[in-house]
Amino acid sequence: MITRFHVENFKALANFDLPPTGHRLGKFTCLIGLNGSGKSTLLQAFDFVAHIVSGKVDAWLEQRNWRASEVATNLVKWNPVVAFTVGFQDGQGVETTWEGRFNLTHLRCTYEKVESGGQPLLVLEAERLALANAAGELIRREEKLNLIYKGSVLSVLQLSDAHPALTFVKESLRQLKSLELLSPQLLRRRSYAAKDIGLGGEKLSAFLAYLPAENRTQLLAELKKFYPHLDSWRVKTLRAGWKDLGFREDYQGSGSVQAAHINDGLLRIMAILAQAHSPYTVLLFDEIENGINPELVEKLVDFLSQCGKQVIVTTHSPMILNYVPDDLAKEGVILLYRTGRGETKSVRFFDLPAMQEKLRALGPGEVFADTRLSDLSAELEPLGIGKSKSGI
Amino acid sequence: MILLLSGEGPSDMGSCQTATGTCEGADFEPGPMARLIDKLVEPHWDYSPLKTSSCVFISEGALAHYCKSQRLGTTLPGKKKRVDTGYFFKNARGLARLAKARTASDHCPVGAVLFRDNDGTAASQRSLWHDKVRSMEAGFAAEDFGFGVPMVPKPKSEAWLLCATQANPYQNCTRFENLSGNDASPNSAKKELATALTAKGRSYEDVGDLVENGAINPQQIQMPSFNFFKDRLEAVAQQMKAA
Repeated sequence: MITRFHVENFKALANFDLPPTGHRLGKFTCLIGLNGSGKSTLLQAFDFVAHIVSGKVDAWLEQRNWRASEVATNLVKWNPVVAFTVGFQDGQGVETTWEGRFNLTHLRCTYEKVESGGQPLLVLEAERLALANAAGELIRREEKLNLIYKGSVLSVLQLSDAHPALTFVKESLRQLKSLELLSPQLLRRRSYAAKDIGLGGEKLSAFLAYLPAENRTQLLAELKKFYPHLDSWRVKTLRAGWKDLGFREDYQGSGSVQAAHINDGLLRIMAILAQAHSPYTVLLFDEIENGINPELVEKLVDFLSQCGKQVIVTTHSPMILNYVPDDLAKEGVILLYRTGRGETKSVRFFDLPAMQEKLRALGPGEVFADTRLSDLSAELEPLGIGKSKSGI
Repeated sequence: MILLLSGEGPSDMGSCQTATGTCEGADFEPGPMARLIDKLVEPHWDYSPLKTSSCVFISEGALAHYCKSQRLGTTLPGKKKRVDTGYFFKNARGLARLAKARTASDHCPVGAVLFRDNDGTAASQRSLWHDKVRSMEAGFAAEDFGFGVPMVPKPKSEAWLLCATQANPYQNCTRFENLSGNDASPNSAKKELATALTAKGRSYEDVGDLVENGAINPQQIQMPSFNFFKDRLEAVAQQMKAA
């Protein structure tokens, strides 16, 4: 599980911590904030770092149609280094951190350090590499690293003899999935052999085609909780291997409905639910409420908070927040806001005294709806709330 | 007839002698605001609600807990309801529901007074006085409750008391509504009241007695936020009597 994330020089995240210093991320995090506060940028930053560890930064940039230089913040003079720290906790409660400095010109990390239980396990600095084994003993030291890699050195290092925490870091981030651009148009498209859903939901039909039978049955049962009139779904293989998603509803006389004609909400819910059957352990969704009727929101929130994965969502919806239990809301609802200098900062929404007071009588979503975030953001900076230790 | 009272603490509406959030009769220790209410209602009912144990008190915490536990509907801001007023709306609605339940169980008219300082707490500092009062009225109306009274001193209850205890009592009191509600401020209503009381050889602990013995006379206090409250309370007292 990811417990914290620090990033510098990534668009508006000039010097940013999630959650604010002194706290830890839980299983369910709900990011709120005005348009332009940096919520989507934060999901992008998570996905960026996940692609660094797998060495696929080129693909990440291409997917978004970005130039590498556009990743850096424009709030100060252009700097080629994106610095980050990701904190993890494994099943035994052991804390591990991976720290890196990614150079946007060379598209690789020029500095990396992995520590577990306070012990350094990997250090890459000035082309020098040191690597430790499970006992913490040095098993590899190179004064002039002779490896060609993109992203992180972890993407190319042979880690079988190294400390297992290094594989844990790598796998934890490889198991992060961002569905930040889910779009009905892409969800509807026929797709060709794919094991995974794309960033915008493309290849859903191919992903579903390869789901084991047991998972298909389970997915149908879960979907029926949202859409009781859904009778079945199927993926038909067309000529040349194209996969076509179709549904059947149990209204009298109704026939099958192709994905192209089914409602947006069902497709979105299906894409979200399908992730429960994916190998991913960290799921990111942007504007989770889109296309979903308020009546279905409770089921969706319950699913996301109980699906066993670590889930980070952004929302503008009071309905979503209102179905988050108070205790979870106090821990997991995080407000992102921009300072006067344009930097995105975070604060736990219900740490703010006025929000705490309102929460005594109102639901979390009602507090959110009852608060003018633009005024709140302006009040936070003078109080120093959400401020990082150092400026950029 | 019964008055259901809710405030922020012992220094305004009062508190329970026992460790409960709701009390009445001898268990209720009335604060200065409850005594002001008593003095204003007595002429209309021909008896003192406090002396006849006709007041029921519910603390701010107990009321918030009740509101949260009830299905009071979701309050969303809109053209009719401004942001930062949901807390007041919900509290008024909860208090109205409690008052209606008491009406049903005791078979007598029950009125409700909801006290909140205009600048008192973190949540209340974020909206305008009339928005707070309107949202309380809307909360009472949402329960179809006609005997609800918003009691929202501006900036705080100390300003109303200061009007009566200043060097020239009851003179030119509207200006006190512009005092700071922040107790840490050098010209806060709380500090000004303390100065005025000290000049008379009194302290805040004596305020209840001053209301009781008539030294603080609510009939003479003239301030917009007080006048609004007083007019509404007297109208409700009359309507309850006629009911």
